[in-house]
Amino acid sequence: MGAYSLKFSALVPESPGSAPQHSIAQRPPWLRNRRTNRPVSGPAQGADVKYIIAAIKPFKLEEVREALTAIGVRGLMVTEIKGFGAQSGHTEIYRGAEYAVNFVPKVKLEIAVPDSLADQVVETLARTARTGKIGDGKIFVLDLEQATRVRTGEAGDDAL
Amino acid sequence: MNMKLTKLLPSALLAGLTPLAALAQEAAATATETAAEVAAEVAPTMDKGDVAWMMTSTLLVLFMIVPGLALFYGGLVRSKNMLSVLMQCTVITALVIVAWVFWGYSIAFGDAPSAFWGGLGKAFLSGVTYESMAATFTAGVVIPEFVFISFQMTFACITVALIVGAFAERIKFGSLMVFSLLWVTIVYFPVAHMVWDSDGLIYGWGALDFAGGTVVHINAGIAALVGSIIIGKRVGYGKDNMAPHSMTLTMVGAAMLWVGWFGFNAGSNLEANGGAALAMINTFTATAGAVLAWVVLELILRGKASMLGAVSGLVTGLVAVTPAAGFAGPVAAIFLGAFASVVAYFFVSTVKHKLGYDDSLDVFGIHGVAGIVGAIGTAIVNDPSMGGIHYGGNAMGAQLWIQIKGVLVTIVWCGVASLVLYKLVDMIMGLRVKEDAEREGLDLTSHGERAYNH
Repeated sequence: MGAYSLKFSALVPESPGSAPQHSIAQRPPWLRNRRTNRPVSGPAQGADVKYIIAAIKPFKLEEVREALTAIGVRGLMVTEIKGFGAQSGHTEIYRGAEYAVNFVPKVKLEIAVPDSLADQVVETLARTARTGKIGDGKIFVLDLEQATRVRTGEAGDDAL
Repeated sequence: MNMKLTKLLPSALLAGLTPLAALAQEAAATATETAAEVAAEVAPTMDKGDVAWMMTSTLLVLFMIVPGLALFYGGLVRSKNMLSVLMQCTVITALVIVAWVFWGYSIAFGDAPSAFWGGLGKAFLSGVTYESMAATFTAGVVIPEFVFISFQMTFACITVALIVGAFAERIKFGSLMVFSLLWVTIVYFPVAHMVWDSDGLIYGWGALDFAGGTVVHINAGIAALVGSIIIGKRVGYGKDNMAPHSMTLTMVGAAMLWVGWFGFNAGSNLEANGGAALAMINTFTATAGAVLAWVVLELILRGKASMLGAVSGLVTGLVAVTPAAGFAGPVAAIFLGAFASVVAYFFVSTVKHKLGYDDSLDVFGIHGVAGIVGAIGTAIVNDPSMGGIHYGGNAMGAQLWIQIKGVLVTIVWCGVASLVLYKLVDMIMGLRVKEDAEREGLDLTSHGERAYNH
């Protein structure tokens, strides 16, 4: 599995006939796509999937990915970002011209996991991404309203 | 046939100092015999080795501009202006080639016996055929005039291209082209005549400029200084991050400049002989001295040696040794390069910021400053006490004064003419792009494309 694998998506209008029947059967009848007015496949139970966003030091990415895979995380999204936190940039000097670089390069991970796995993922992230030096990053956990697997239309935990 | 060019260096002097002296004498003897046989004028000889070397040198100098200088400069600007710099270097090169053929060669090296210009007798290369020969520094040894014309043409091209670094990231493309055409005509061609033609004013004083320290680098440096002051600072100068967008390309470009500079310096000998070899070794040693000096200075004063510092030192050393390449000894050249590096370092890192003008890529700080150090320093390293070949035979003090006079004339001529030309173009078409175009970047606003799609 590559480090960059897309495992869920935002609301995707379903094309008729493409989704397997079992998934359509699971559809909650009250949830409909606003545009097509078709029922969509995501249950709105909310609390059964967590969305974890973490900003970490770029060189830690591979170590973190390995550790997460080992505890059963089956996909994550990676973005190269810049930001600032406690770690305050650096100064670059070009022929005497000094530039303060206030944003530090980081890697952002976005991971959707079943509730049961969330604490373990946070703990694993905190452990593997840690160097003990300033600038190690942050981890945020959100409730995820809905998750759908694009290929099959599966929803909720099944989509992960 | 243009034989005036021959008088640049007395052959005996140079020949006597090269390992090829014996050969040269043989050639002279052969020539004499031939002359005796024909009982007419001495038949000039063309050496195919010389011709091959000069053709190679010409291409090396072209390579210095595109892609060398273009990449060196391009890496130093922000990514939104990358293509504008590449375009300016490319199109200026094309433009100056045309100007050179139309009237430039004639003004610089034409037959008119004036101290300031060569007249228009050779405009459109009138009278030059593939059989025309131009003299070299050795009496009786010639190269095809078309080779000489091409070689000198590339020097005109690079001089104008060098200036664009001063007002990079804010100049209006069309205005720059008009300015380039006027500047090369009114400043470069006459100064080249004054310094290099045997009728030229500065040449007549006995000033030494082997490969163009005065003509190319001081000229470009002064035009750059005047230009950056007149055009004004970039929007956001001193506030926004204007760090180079690709030090990698800058290093690649600088390395191409170094390689190409062997055509520039060793090619300026016009023959493939010991004189060219001396210029070659000096183009190595002065550059090395300058790189080391800049890097060590940065290590001492800032604690970190930077890539930009190393390539700045590299270009500084090349510029400094340009006027001295065929006269200095290789060891003295190391010190000349190192000294120029120290001066240029303090100029770009301290003096420039105190003065407050925005010479974007330090054309004056590097080419102007190192050009002046090199031109004046040539008097010192040419002296036999410093291991020089003592070309011209003047005492060091006397030569020093001649060099200073040559530099001053160039600074005044170029400074005044550049000022007038910038003002003229500014009045007619405006030199600077609109502020929002400058913020968006010249690549999109002037050329409708972007350097990187990602």
